[in-house]
Amino acid sequence: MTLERHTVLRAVTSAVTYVPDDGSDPIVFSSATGCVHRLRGSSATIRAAIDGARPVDAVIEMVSSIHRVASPTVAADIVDTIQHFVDLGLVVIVDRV
Amino acid sequence: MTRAAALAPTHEVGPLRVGGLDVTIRTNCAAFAAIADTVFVDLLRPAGVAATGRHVVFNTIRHETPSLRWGIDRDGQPCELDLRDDAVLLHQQWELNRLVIESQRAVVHAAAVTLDGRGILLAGLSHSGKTTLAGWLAVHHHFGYIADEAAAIDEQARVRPFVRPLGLRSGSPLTAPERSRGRLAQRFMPDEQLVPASTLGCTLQPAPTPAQLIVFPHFRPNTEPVAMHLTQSDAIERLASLTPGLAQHGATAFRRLVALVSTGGVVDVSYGHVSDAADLVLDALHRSPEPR
Repeated sequence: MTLERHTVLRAVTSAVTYVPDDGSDPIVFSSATGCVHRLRGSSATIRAAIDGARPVDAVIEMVSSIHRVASPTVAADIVDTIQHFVDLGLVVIVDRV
Repeated sequence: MTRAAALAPTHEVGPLRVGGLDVTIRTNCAAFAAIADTVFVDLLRPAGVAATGRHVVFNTIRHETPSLRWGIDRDGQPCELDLRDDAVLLHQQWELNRLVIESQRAVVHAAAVTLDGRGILLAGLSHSGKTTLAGWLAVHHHFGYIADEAAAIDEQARVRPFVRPLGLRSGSPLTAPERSRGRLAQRFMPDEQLVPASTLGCTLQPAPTPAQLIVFPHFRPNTEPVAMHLTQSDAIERLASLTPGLAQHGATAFRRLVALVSTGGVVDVSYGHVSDAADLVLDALHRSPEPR
């Protein structure tokens, strides 16, 4: 399914996120697949921004702001990452405005 | 004797205590019963300990065919039907490992030992050296032996005991006692010997033990010993790949792994000789945080 800028997504309830207390990368476990996924670099920020309320556009703005880069520069990469989360079953589309 | 009578079990080994289950191995071969009695001695249910009410029965039967093949069934369900003399005992051990994996929610492919109540999980794939390192620490540094191959993690991040015999391959720096190398051993385990830890002088740890340190050993001949501390993320990734029931037991198993890595230190140890690895583990244990 192709993402659009106004698409809203949320984390699936069957996924468990572990944020290590030693500052290392968060890990997401998918109960559906039994797989663990390591959220390296900005992917942790992207997933955290997917809260069931923000559309993709707002996720891009938030992530680019946190990482202090111009949103047009990274928008495609962020959308690709979100699409990857969808493909892995870690987030789902909840609404289209 | 009729064919049916020849295949009927005549000897019993056990009851053993494996993964919280009572286990009996029945066989029609006196020689197999004798060697199984010897190698599984540490797994015997202690005298005075009540039965669990969950009893598993293996029938390990030698078939009087020209090639003398063996079959193993578990509670009447076939496990393996065409084993040779030199594979049947190792396969029986593997079936015991499988019982642990199936009966527990989070089982890591690991060995475990303990010193002064501080457990160490030695996690890795086959041939990584975890068994040899566990045996070495138990024999030469007086660690208690908790488990090998299948280390079950309980809800308090403790390792449950599974004191199966240690599998020692040719060239192992651990030497099997003379009595473990007799005629029956040659017949049933010519390549990899199953040696009860107690016969090596190891102390068996009968109770669940908190794991204070996780070690990922890597045996590589002619390698200089190196210890490298890992992050919790590294540890979770590696442990997940070594936990066969993660997909089946889901979030429960994952949370136990998380509790495990949150408890103490994590270190990767590469080594060419097990004595060097033992020194690195001792150093890491002394540096690891005290129990929370």
